[in-house]
Amino acid sequence: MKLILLLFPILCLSQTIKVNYTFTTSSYQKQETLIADSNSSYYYNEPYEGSNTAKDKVEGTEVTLVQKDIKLNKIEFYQNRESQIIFYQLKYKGEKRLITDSVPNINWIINKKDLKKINGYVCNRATTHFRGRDYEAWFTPEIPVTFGPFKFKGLPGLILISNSIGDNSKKSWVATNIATLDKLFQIPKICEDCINMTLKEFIEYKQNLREEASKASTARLPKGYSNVKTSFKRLSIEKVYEWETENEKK
Amino acid sequence: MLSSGFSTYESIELDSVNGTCTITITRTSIDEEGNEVTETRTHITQAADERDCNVRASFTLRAYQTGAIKF
Repeated sequence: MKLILLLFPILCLSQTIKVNYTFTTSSYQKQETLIADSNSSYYYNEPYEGSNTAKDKVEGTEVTLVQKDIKLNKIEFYQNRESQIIFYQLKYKGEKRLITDSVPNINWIINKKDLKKINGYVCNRATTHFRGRDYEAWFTPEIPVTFGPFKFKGLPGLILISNSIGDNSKKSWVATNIATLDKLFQIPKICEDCINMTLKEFIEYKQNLREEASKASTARLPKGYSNVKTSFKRLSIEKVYEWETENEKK
Repeated sequence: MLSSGFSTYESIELDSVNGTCTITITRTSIDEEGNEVTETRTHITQAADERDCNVRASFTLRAYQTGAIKF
């Protein structure tokens, strides 16, 4: 593990491309960047602050509330073509964290008959199921880089568009600019003073925080209200993790 | 979706009709990583009839918006 960690900061990418993506959810839109060559990738987004595009509403006795202000920290992903491990670092609850994610193999089904020209590149369509969602991706074999936005990889060409399908909490990435970098790109260093966690530990940590906050606030309900049930549901890019489905199978 | 709405039940002892108003509150929050999570709560309160229950749902929305009830 330490060896892999040490290798990343000294990697220099040659024949490197830089791709800007617009990431859209039902709540916000932000810019993300992929820097990659044929072997390695570095993916990041800058910190983001904005207002939620969704609004509060009440329909009969169904009340829907949304978080008004959105503040997102910078996240940086590091991955190699051959490895299933993705490292990502971010600041969460005031602490710098390095998360190790053992990503399951993404099995793409490529439909060679589905062709589309995007930004001047001929693209093929591929579909997959990844951590609880179905996705389609449009990739171009004209750019032989196996990476794409977020944690996606494994196609024989750069992903220009990726969309979740069959879900009302849609996620989409659209490439807005593709450039070749003239100079060698030095991948920013992985932090050395971060709190190290596996993704499973990080997800459980976040869920515990949510449950504690929920318990504390339901304990303070005003007179006349009683709370019957509280449940949580992920609408994030990753909705279900492999260790959760493994537990269900047992 | 959780069950919600208005239901009545007879109070035999008092021989009167009481209403149970079930209000479902779903809040979407976005963490520092950008992940969206919904938290759904069902609140039980008393209401005179269905209309009153809907009014209480609007009051509940306002109570959450003003911070009188916190998530």
